[in-house]
Amino acid sequence: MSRARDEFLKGFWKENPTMVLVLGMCPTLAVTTSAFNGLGMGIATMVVLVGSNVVVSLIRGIIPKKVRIPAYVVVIATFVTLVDMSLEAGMYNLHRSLGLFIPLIVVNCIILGRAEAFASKNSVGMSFLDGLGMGLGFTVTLFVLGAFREILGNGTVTAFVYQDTIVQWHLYSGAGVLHKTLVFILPPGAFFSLGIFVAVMNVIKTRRKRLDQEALDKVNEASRTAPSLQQPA
Amino acid sequence: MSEIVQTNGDEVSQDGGTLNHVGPKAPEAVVQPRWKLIVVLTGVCLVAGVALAGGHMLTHDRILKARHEFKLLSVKKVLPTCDNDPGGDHVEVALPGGGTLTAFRCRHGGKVAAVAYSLDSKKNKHSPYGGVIEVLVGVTRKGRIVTRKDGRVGVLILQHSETPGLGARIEGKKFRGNFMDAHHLGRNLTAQDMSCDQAGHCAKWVVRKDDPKGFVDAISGATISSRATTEVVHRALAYFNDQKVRQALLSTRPTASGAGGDARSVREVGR
Repeated sequence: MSRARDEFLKGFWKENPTMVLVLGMCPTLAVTTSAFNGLGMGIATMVVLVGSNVVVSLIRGIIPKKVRIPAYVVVIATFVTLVDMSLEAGMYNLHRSLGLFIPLIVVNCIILGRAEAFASKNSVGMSFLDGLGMGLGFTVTLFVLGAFREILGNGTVTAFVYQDTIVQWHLYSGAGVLHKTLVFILPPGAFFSLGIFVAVMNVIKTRRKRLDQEALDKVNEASRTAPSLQQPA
Repeated sequence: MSEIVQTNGDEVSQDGGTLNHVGPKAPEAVVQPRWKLIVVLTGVCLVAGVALAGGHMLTHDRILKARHEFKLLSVKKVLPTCDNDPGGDHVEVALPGGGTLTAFRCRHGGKVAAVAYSLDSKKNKHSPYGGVIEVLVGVTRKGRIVTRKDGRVGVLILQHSETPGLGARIEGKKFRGNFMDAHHLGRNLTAQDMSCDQAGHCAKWVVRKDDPKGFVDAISGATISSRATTEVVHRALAYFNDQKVRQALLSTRPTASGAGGDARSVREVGR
């Protein structure tokens, strides 16, 4: 059970696809101009990732290793097209706001990466959890990155957009001390933001590691001095 | 020399090692025969093809229906309040350059007060960044883009493939607001074409970045998409200034029923 939890949770922090594995840079950099775009891309990717992980895991026994990459690509492209079609038929409104992101998913190497590195070696259940966790981790990262760029670049957070229906919070108008910095929405801002995020994450990770190490040292220290007291008891 | 060859050889075997590492731990002896690779990959593609064909069959009709419903819904969004249901009151109009236009009519007491029709960028001089942009415009009988009482402008983007976050912002209220009350003087399209507001202030039908006298504020980072959209709206309005087309658009003739009826209405226009 704890393994299932680990496979699910690793996508959020320890093996976060964007920040740690640094995969899927094309959608990450291109699409996160607003929080809503990040959310849309993240959710669409997650659906395809879960589907392709499960199917790749199901057929892992019958695919000869020499043709596995083309086979995975066929599976992924099929999934992307099916998601695209069923979304347009079933939820036309959502498709109109997400439709542009969906073809981009085929070229997202997170999906092929998980198929190759995880689903082709693990059971269906674990692959499902891996896909779900990685997909959610990707979604959260893209949403936060999108919100960060949008706040700095446009002074807003957009949660939902569809033609005239807009759910958006205006945080500041761009006058006075808080000035809009358009560059954060433009392509260079994507690199700046991602750089800042990765740096912050690394700082936290290093600090955590050091604290863990210190705690471990303390325990070791204690156990080295303690035996004489514990043994008699 | 021999050392270099040695390292190359090592690298190859390392690559081979990582490849082998992925599949089930199979020694060299169990390498699959070539025909099996072909059969399996063909099989995977066949299954994928069948899945896609099935998906297409299941969804195709519903997709077309959803698109049509969306268009009817959008038609109401670019027209003012009407006495009739504009979605059910349309007319086919022959265009001077060939082809026809389906216009949805908004009536006030029988008289056509405004029409809505869509045009795409296929015949544009300025192409969009990718794919096709299809724009639905609502035009008053005086040839101006509709301004609704709720402040919305009579321009909607029905379809586009621009970059999310950049060109896709042509869908936004702010960009479409550029065309509020827009108007086209004259019959043909030229670079000097002007749009004059009701107070008599005129500006050119170009993005301001190309000509300071233009009235369209291009989206920063998406000038190409802005240009293409501006041209589509401009062309749509120029159709309205064609005498024959305008008469056909504003004719009060009821909706022709069936395919035969559509053909008849087109012939009547050509008369």
